Amino acid sequence: MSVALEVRGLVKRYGTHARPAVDAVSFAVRAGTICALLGPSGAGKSTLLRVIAGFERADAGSVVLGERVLADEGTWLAPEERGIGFVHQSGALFPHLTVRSNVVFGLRSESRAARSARWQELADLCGLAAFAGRYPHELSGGEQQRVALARALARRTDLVLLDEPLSNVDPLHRTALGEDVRRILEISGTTAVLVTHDQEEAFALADQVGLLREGSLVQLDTPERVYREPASPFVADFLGHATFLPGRADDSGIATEIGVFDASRAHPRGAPVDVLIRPGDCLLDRDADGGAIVESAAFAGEHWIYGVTLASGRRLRCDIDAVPHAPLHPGDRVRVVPRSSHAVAFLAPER
Amino acid sequence: MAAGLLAVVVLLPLAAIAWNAATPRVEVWMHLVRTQLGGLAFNTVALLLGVGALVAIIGVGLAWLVATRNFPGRGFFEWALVLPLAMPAYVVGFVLLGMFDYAGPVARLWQAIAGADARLPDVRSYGGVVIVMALVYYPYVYLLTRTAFAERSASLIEAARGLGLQPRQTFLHLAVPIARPAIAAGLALALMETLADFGTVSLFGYQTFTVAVYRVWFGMFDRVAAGQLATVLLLFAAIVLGLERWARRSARFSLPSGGAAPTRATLGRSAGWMATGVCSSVLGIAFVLPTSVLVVWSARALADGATIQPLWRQAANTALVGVGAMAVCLAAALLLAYAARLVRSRVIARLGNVALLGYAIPGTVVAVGVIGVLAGVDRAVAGAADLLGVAPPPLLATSAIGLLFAYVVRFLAVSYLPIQAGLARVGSALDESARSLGASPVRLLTTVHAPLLRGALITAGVLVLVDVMKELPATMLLRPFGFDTLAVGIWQATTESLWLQAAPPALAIVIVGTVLVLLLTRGFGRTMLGPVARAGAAR
Repeated sequence: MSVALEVRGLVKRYGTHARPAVDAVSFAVRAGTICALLGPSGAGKSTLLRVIAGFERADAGSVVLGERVLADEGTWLAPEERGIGFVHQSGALFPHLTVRSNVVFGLRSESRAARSARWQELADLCGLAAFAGRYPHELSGGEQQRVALARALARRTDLVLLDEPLSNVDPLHRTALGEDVRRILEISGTTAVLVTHDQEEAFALADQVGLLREGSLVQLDTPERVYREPASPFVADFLGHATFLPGRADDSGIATEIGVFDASRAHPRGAPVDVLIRPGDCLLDRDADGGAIVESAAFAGEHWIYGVTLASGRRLRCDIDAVPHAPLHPGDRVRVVPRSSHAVAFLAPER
Repeated sequence: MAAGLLAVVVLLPLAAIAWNAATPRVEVWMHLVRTQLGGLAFNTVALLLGVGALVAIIGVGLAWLVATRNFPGRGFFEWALVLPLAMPAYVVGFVLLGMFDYAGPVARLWQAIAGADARLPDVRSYGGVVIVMALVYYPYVYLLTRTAFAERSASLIEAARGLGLQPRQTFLHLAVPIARPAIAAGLALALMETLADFGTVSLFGYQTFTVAVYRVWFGMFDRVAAGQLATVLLLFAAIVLGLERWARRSARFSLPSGGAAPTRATLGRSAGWMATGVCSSVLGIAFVLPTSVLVVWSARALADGATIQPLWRQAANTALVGVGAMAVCLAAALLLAYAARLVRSRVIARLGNVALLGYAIPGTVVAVGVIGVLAGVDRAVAGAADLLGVAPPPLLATSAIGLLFAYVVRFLAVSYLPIQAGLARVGSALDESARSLGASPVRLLTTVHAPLLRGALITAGVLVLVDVMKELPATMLLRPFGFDTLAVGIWQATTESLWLQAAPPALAIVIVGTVLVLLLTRGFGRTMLGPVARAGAAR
């Protein structure tokens, strides 16, 4: 598949801050796919999105959409000339226009019939037919976001940018809206870049997830690979609960206090490393001679969440499926059994 | 660029006053200090303290009642208590004087009851001035504080009651401190009006700086001394403004938003009717009574053969300068607001803020400053004409331009604030959305901004109109010879104690003012703003 959006060496600096908000970011998004930019607040994700949209001017770097250069050393296209759809966090619907008028706002140069036809298509696609004559304030947050998405798609733009599209929607409807957004983008074949600080949102929506930290893109890969093969402890920690157990790399693998793991990466022999353990990576065997003690037990529906103290005094979180399982209680002695010998390890920082 | 120029133009009269202060005339000052400065300063401070205290008590008390208690007529009083804002203080003042005059109805009633020798306490006193001003200016505090009580602190007040605080403790220890910024803002507005007032104090023969400037100007034709006195008045305005900033200093509380509307405690039968009584008395004395008296007097004045001719002329003149000032103010405010939005330069923002100080500056001071500037221009023009050997053009200083200039300097803030707030509501996300949808800047203005700003523009225009209509001292000092407005008509009649003749123009001002205040506080939300207001209400 062809590359739709290519960003190269983008730098954006605000005022006299020493650290750029966006620091030499490069990435490409293939046509028809969805890319999520994920990171803590202040990581520069929204700035990056706004530079691509043309709301902000980059200090260096280029943005190319298909064959068109939108911005580089000598070029800068205004937002209205870029043909990029933008969905704001709050929807940013025009409060004085009906849903239908909002959606067709960008189709002014087209004939009445063309506008009407496009509205019909989008109303069907986004489930808006019933809202045509309503005003934005009469809609729920999720409905507003669907209108905003329809409005951004109306001009058949090659690229749609979404800034935290689900964050203003109540949690109950977030999953459903996320599915809607993904379906709408897929059916319309639109390339999309979205920004979020919620990893579940990123995983649910995107084909590719990019991790941003302090303005830099630290990893870009499929959701599964960034979760399973994080490029750094920061990525591992950001994408879910992570415990790092100290170990030592040798020929047979990496030895830790709960067992020996194969390393997915080559580490210098004898080097101290930290092994990433996710809550689902281990089972707990009831064992009166076990070296670990259950400290806390919380029932979470599908699974139990246990807090376990290892012999070394380190805390480990273990999520155990609730169904074929006799619950453990605080104080029970257990043995921690890794479910797989495969693990990710990082060279330990100097201690 | 244009915005910067505008700010400079607005600042010129203030600069002229400041120039006066920077170049003191020793002999003038010696004379002023010897004769009247001490007394004037004492009177002005006493007036500010008295009005401030009374306005705070009435305003905060009524706001608390209406926002947190249920009693018969609460819904009506909620908006009706704003109505005294439509009354110029000097109108309430002259109605009171007329009523308590030696031959007035109250005095006669009193003599009938207490005997022919009975004398009423003299209303031409400190107490009289303070009461009149407090009755007219309390709505500023009431309006701002009510909002603070009703919306912001509702959940906190409920939390306090859950913690076992008595209502009285909740009021003193929680509600009032939380509403402090609102109370301070309301008080500052009331005190600025007090400081700027010329009509009431001169009617009641109470000597303050505004009166002194006027007297020195017209009585002694001493513009230098008037200018020097004006600098002192400016100093007082700066102090009021500074006090307001100080009272708000750290008061940027983050208040929990949202949550359910507060449930108002329903007062018991007797307490409820007492609350109704308190609200009715304030509204009655400040609004219903003066208006009724004006109606009766106007009817009698017209029946006595007073011609309606001058009234029409005054009304037409008022409308002329009002609409003119409104147009200039709106254009200037739009320019400033857009400049601040687009350029985002600190310099522009600062200039804008300084230009807005005009509202805090008494009309008397503005007038003196405007004359200073225009006289300077006139001299330069005359000099140039002399050099070129042509006849000098008509003088600016005595033309309607000066009047318009003064109104704009004084009321730019009134039109700027609603427009700025309206523009702020049109968040930058809307601009960005429109642009990413391919809208040109022009289309953005016409299809998104114009409809969304309509409400703010109407509000701003109405506010300027009401203020121009009521403004007395600047009009008195700057009007071209023979140019009467309604306010001037009232003042001329009252200086000769011709109460009946003052009534028709006063009634006209009150009626127009009431309609506009009602439009702003009630009608607009539903009818004139359409979907935008509904959108706002839904948030």
